[in-house]
Amino acid sequence: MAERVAEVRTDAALQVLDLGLTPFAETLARQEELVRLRLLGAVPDTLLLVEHPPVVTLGRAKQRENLILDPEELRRRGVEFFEITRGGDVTYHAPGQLVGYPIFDLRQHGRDVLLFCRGMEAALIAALADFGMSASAIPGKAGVWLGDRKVASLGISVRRWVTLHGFALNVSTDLSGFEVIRPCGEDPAVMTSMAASLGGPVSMPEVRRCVARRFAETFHIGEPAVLPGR
Amino acid sequence: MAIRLDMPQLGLTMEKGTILQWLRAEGETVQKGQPVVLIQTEKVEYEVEAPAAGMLLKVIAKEGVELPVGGLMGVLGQPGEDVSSLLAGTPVGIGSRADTLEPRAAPSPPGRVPGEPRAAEPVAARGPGERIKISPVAKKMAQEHGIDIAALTGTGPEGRIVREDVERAIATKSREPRAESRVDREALADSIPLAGIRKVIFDRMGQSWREAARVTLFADADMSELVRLRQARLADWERRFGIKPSYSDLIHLAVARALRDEPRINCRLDGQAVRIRKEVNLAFAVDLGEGLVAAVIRDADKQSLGDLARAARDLADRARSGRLSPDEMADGTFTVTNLGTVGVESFTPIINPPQAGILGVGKIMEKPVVRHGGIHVRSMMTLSLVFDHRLIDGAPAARFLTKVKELLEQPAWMG
Repeated sequence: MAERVAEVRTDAALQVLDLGLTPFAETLARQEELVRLRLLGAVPDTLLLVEHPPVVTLGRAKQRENLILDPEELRRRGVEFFEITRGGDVTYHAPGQLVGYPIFDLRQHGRDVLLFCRGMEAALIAALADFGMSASAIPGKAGVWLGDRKVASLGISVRRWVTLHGFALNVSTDLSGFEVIRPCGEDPAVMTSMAASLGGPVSMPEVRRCVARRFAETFHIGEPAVLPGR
Repeated sequence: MAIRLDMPQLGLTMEKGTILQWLRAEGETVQKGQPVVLIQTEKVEYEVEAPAAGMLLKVIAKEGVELPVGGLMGVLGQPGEDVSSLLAGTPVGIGSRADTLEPRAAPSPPGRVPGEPRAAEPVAARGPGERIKISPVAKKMAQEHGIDIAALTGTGPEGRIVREDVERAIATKSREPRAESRVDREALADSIPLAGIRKVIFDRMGQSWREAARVTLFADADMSELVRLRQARLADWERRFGIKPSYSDLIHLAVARALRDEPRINCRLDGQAVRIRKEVNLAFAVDLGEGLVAAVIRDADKQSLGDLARAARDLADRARSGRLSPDEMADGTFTVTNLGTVGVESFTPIINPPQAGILGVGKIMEKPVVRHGGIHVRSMMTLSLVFDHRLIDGAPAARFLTKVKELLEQPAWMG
């Protein structure tokens, strides 16, 4: 795949904004603003890295049957709920999960949204390899898999070739949280995390560093410029 | 003029998409570039923008409907426009062109025959070759404003073009629609956006041309023995392999063998290193009508003639129907491109980076050949090896080309 991924590279550098722990709504507004600026060419390709307080989001495909608890019940349990405009189905975010939102201009990356998804998968697989984990992509099942368990989900939205939304990588997520949904129509038990798979603690800052570096390596040249985003 | 809104091709491997939501209802107007409809393919949601300003005349595919790439989603146009011709027998083709169907040519102004050159108006009142009479002031003005004085009719003495004539022409010109909409009205046969596969070809060919230090080596291979061998063995091959190996297949076999014998050619640029590869992954160009792809036969040097022939047929068939997976186009180590099949004698193809070489194959033609003082009629074929001199030196390239030539000229080893 090296050759295909090389095609999605641009000769510009990647900017990474580290938002720490930030609520979903706030990050969504930040994404919208960055998309606007990216369309104007005012900012470079930007990767937002963030963890969210517990939240369930429903993509435009709106497969409500994959929502096990209704929004009211979710809120009672302290889980926020949003219907949003991204590809994909229902998903769950919580602390311990690294969420990445690439705001990339795909006109610089071969104008191929599927190739871009494959590139995201390749970057995450490379980042997992940094931890000695052998992950893979499964054709027709977007995301990153450790065997038959899903460690990262992805779903993006594209406006005039600029991307938003992105991926969610379970680093040390409490996997029981997934039981409120059928993630992308799958059994919640299909989800795993790096910590669960390795059987030990995983350093979130280290994962952030690796993901940032592997994204830059896949899509850009040079080292990523990592900035505090808050 | 009504415009098709087709399911766009958002990636080389995209086959179909689903309508998620119409952002405009039938009868609503939209500006060029505004989102009209949301679609989804795999885990990607995409806002399709209006290719031109107009009214959403018709929604063909309702929300939730899945369409192949190129399938008709809806029709954009002017209020009251008849779109029945667009809807009747809607062709569902592959391609991302959101451009007009049927009347591709712009509507002609009244009284003009379609296809008639438009530059002839207004007709200048002078014969061919006649000198254009124009005042110096008028001439300077015309030059400054880009007015074609040959198209002007002079109103001065003896038809001399004067300042007023040029001023009128400038005024007329400034009333004409801007350049962009003029292009829209031009009788374009077709318009292919620089997107998808076209964009990939655009970028990679350009990159190769800018960066590679190309050298081309030519060699004429005497194919007479191979022609004889193929004729003699074809029936047997067909029985054994279930397929008739073409000359291209025989050439692939020879090239794969030569790459194994001259591995220095089998290399790729990888960052700051020239990587000489163990496996011979032979790429061959497949014409798609619009666009081309290089399909890759893995470990080609380890395959029999029958395997190579079947692999090439299968890859080419699937490439043409758009069903090649990215893996089947990746990781080639050397490319063969045969234009001999369409009658080309010799040519210098462009290297497909990060590969370092490509072999152009010309047509097999009977030619007079001088040998041992006599003239003989032989079946000759020109090979052109283009290599990147940054990565490969001349001598190994020459050895490789000579090896290919020898393998083709003495084909008994092919069995």
